[in-house]
This record gives sequence, structure tokens and C-alpha cells, in this order.
Amino acid sequence: MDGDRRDEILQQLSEGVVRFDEEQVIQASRRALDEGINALTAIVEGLSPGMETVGDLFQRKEYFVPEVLMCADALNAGLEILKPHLKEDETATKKGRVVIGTIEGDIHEIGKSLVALMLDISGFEVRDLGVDVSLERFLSEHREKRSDIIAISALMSTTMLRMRDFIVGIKEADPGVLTMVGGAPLTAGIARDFGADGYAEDARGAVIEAKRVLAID
Amino acid sequence: MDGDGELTSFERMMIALEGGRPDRVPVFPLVRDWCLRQVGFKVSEAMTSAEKHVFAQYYCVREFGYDAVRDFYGTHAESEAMGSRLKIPDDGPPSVAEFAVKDYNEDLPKLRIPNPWRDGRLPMILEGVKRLKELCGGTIPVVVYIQAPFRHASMLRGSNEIMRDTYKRPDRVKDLLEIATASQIAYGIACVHAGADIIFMSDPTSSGDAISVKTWEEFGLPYTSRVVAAVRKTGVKVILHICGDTTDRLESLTRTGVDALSLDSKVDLGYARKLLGEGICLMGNIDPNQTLVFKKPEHVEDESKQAIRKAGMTGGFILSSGCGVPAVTPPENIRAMVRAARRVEGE
Repeated sequence: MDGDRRDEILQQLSEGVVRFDEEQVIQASRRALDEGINALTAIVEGLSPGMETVGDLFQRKEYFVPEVLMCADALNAGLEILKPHLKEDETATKKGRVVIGTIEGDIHEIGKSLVALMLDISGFEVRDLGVDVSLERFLSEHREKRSDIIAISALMSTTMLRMRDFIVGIKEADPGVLTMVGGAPLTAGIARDFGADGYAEDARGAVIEAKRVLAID
Repeated sequence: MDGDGELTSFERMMIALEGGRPDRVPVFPLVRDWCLRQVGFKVSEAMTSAEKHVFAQYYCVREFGYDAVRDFYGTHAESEAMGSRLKIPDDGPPSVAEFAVKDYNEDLPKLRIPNPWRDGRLPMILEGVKRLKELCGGTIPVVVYIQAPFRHASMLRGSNEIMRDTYKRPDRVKDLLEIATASQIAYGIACVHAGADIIFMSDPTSSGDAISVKTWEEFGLPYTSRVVAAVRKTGVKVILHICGDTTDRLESLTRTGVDALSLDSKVDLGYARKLLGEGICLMGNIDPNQTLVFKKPEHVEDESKQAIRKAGMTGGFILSSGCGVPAVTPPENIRAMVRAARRVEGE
């Protein structure tokens, strides 16, 4: 297949995500497979750059939560088609394992889900525990998955204050695991004060921060 | 107990809400569970006892000398009365655990405008309002929380879902908003009957960090405006609170017809005042987390004075927290806000 055609399909994948055109992403994903584009390439060079652009648009306040959720739906529609075609060694070469969730007592989901998504498409193996997650659940999931990072989100100041105890509990259970925190009421200073290893302001920052704490790249 | 002039808190707040300049800037931090903490009650206890809530509110307003009392912890109570199920932690704010509208076709026809005197937790909230009014009537205003229609709708449908629905099923969102609007008019007016002097309408879903101006103007503004108009007809004042950075939609927010905008700490009060002029009362906006929880009283006092200088020197200003005051906020920091309001103009 010629390079132009390949580029065109990758472009359609990326564009479909940015314009939250689920149908276009589905068509382009199928075409990619039909025409012999490697599934990993389609994800890494097609869907992921699209979602990166979405992250930019969100940061610049051109996109807001509804738009980002629509983009994420389009992205997931593509992943659903492409993921079964990943070769086993491709799924095994993950950058790291992350267990993520919104802290107990807090049901705010959107920011946390976006972080999980961005980590996922950036090559991390992500286990998203959802919202209202207790320390025990974080720990039991961590024991099962032997995760490298436990990432905790909070959107309310009241629940944010529990993070300190969670981090202490996590470090007591396993001093080797790294912790990351995020959410609207937090700052880098508060995160440090709580004893977290990493903090990021948004989903794109979280990917950079996860790589930093694991010393990747 | 104070160095105030001759005005009561009620007069002070009403003058500010009308854009005027009272004897000093009124102070109204957004306290509810914080008050419970001061008197040793847990949130879960107050959720089943109007009496405990009323006691906490009345004790704190007397002890700390700010200028208004608030209704009982009614967050999402309207959505609960229409079928959403709340989860109430032992000592934290309630949240919605199960949403009433899972499927528009199936669940919308089942929704009923709640009877505020009968359904869910609403009668207990109204009972609390009545008692606060009996205690404070005429001297300290009673402020009652209602959800803005878009917030109410999102607590009936789920935040993530309603965000997607604004693209996928905008007409169904508007059907739901019609019901939510009717519900909030009925509930808002019931609150007035129970004794509310000021309705505090809150809409975290329309946060500048969550939706675009365009989405706000399509799904927020028209419906919120209808509730504001209906409530204001009774003579009661309305404050609109929207969380997060609303700098890009300040003018649009004033088009709801509210008496005051309660601004979160991300908005620059000086900018808001300059943009909106002196015709509207502004309220805000001390950072509840970084300042109120973590800083020392002298810093809180400084930041409070700065806020007053930015937006309050010519009247039409209420000193407040940018958003809800966390229960763990040191009591001295609330005192520092009140102190700032008493001192700033004498400097």
C-alpha cells in the first residue's frame, strides 16, 4: 500500500476523533485493517494524536467536557475494532500498570476517566476502579495487578483531605508503589504535602507525570 | 459582640443585594457542614434532623457574626424527591448514587413535579427554613438553596450522560429541562412560603470548567432565567452561584436576571466589577481550599480585604467563599473574614 493512502487513513482516524465523528472512526478503523495497516500503528499514529489534539483544545477552552466525552466515545469505538488485532507482544510491552479511581465519598468521574483514557492510549495498562473507591479496594486491586502506580482523584475539598490517609495507607501496605493525585482542589504543593509522588493538573499532564515518576523516556 | 454600625444583618444584605453600600460589607461564607462541625454534629445526623441543622446554623451565625443563615443540607433534595437515590456518608456531603432517568422514553413520562410539602426530604428542609425564620426573622436573612434546572436535570440523569446528551439527544435534554424548570419554580416558591428571604441557586454543572458558553446559553440560561423570574416575582432576592472559572460568561450570567452573582475563586473580582459595572451585586470569592483550609487567619484577612477593595468599595458586594466552606476549615479563618469586613473601610 502506498504511503499516501496509509497517511490518509491515519488522518481520518485522528480527524474522526477530534470532530467526534464516531462513524468516520469506525469506517477508518475497518479500512485500516482491510488495507493491512498494523493495529498498533492505527492506534498510536491515528487515534492517539487525535486525542492529543482534543487535549489541546480542552486546555485552550475550545472544547469542554461534553465535547471531550464525545471524542472519547469516538476513540473507544475505534479501539474496540482495533484492539483485538493487536499482537500479543504489543499488548505486553506496556509502559507500566496503573490502578486509578476517585476517592471514597466522591462520585466525580469525568476528569478521572479522562486521565485513565489518556494513560491507556499512551501505552499504560490501566485499571479504572470508578468512583467512591475505598483504600481497601485500591490495595486489593494493587495486590492483584501488582501495579506500578496508584492514582487517586478528588473533586471536592472534603474528599481531597482524605488523600493524605490513603497515601499513608498505601505506603504502609507497599512502600514500593508510586502514588499520583489530581483533581480541581489540588495543587502541586498540596500533593507534595500529602506525600504523593506525582501530581498533574490535567489528563495530558498526568501522562507526562506518570512517565516522570516511573523514569520512562 | 461587634463593631458594626446600626444596621441589622438583614438590612445590610438587602442593601448590598440592591447594589447599595451598607455600613460595612456583609459577610456570608457558604457554610453548612462547617456549622455542623462547630457544634459537634455529623452530616448524617443533620440529614435526618431539621432541629440539629437549625441549631448549628443559629449557633454559628451568633458566634461568628457573619450575616446570613442557610437552609438544611438540601443538595440534590429535589432530584431525590423525583426518584434519584442519594448516598449519605457518615460525615460528608451527600451525592446521587442512582439516577431517576436511565432511559428517556421509559423514565421521562414517570417523572412528577414533586410536592415540596410532601415528597422526599423537601418537607424537612422547609421545616428547617420555617424554624430559622422564626429565630432570625427580620434581623438575619434566611438563604435557601435550590438547584438550577440544568443541575437538577443532571442529578436526575447523571452528569456524564447529560453532557453527552447535549449532542446526542438535545431534544430529550430539553424535555427533561422543562420538567426540571417546573419543579424548581414549584420548590422555589415553596421555599419562599416557608420563609426564605434569599434564594441561592447553584449550578456546578454550568461551570466554566465543564461546559462552553454556547452549551450554557442553550441548556442553562433560558431555564435558569425562568426560575429566577418566577421567584423574584415574590419579592425575594436571587443569588446565582456557578462554580469554577466563569470569566468567559459573566455578562451572559447577568442575563438570568439575578440580583447577585456568586463567583468562584478562579474569577478575578476586579475584572468582573469592571466588566459588569456597578449595577449588579457580586459575591465572593475567597479560595475555600488553598486559603480557608490551609492559610493562617492573617492571610485570610488580607485576602478578604483585597476582595473588598477589588469589588466592594462602592457597594453591591458580599464577602464570601468562592465555593462551599469545607468542614475542616479552622474557625479562626471564618472570624478573619468577618474581621476584614469590619476593618477594611476604617483604614
